[in-house]
Amino acid sequence: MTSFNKVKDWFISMGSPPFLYKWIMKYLPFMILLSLLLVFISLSWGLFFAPTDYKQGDAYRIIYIHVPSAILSQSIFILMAITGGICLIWRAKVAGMLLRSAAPIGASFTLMALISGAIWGKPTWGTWWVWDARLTSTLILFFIYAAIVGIYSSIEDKTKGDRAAALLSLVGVSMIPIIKKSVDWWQTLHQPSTFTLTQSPSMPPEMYLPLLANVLGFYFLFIALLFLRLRTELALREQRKNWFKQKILGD
Amino acid sequence: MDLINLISEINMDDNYFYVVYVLVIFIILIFINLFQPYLKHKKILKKQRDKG
Repeated sequence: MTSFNKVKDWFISMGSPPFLYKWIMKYLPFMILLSLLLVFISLSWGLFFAPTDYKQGDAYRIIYIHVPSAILSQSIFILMAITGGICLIWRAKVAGMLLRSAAPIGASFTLMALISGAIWGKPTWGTWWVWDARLTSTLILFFIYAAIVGIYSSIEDKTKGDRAAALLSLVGVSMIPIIKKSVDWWQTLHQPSTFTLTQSPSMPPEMYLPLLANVLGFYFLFIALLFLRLRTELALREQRKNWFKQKILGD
Repeated sequence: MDLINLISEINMDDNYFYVVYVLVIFIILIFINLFQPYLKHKKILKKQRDKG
């Protein structure tokens, strides 16, 4: 069997709730420990040991939480739109669970990006908030996240809830390019993107390397939090199934 | 001694409390995201075990 077929088989078996639950239970403690350790090391590097900015002083260190949170708020929404598409086209049960599990985490990171941006704005712009394109579009993204979380709370039928949330995530994903390009399309107070694929960062390596480490750490943290929520979602939806009862009573 | 040298290298100025605000809010959000699903999962398992 080729390695491609092995990966394909593994991916297909992930669509089975018992297999996925078992797999998550196996790797969850390791993922939580690894992600917390990574975030602790990279945040300590950025918050305590990176050089001070000559203009903004230490207030610039908020970048080490703000930028990874903002990147994740957009990445998580793209993931939700993909799983939403899978949920609508193939009616995959696990895709709906994944969508539901990712939504509150995405909302938390978007809220973190908004709050950290507001706190950073005070010492640098002299105000907590301005209705500029980047800030307003990110606020709208947060409202869409809140709407998706709200859909699940208000629709009791899980399948209908999955479809409604999937549809909203597919419509809402159009906000991502708007947020991304808002600093280029409109006059804003917000600075242009820190990282681009075509240009080297405007910061020195002593400042952007801890930022890259934080972005990586936050991605790991998201995966760990997603595992944790997905495990709960699987238990909630499959609690009346025989495999789940056997697993619980067997442990 | 190494730890003292390491701590003495920490750079701080008057704006540092803004960073502390952000850090505290971040830690609170992460704790909520860690413990809320953990406790919910525990509750489901307990309910199922009690049912037998």
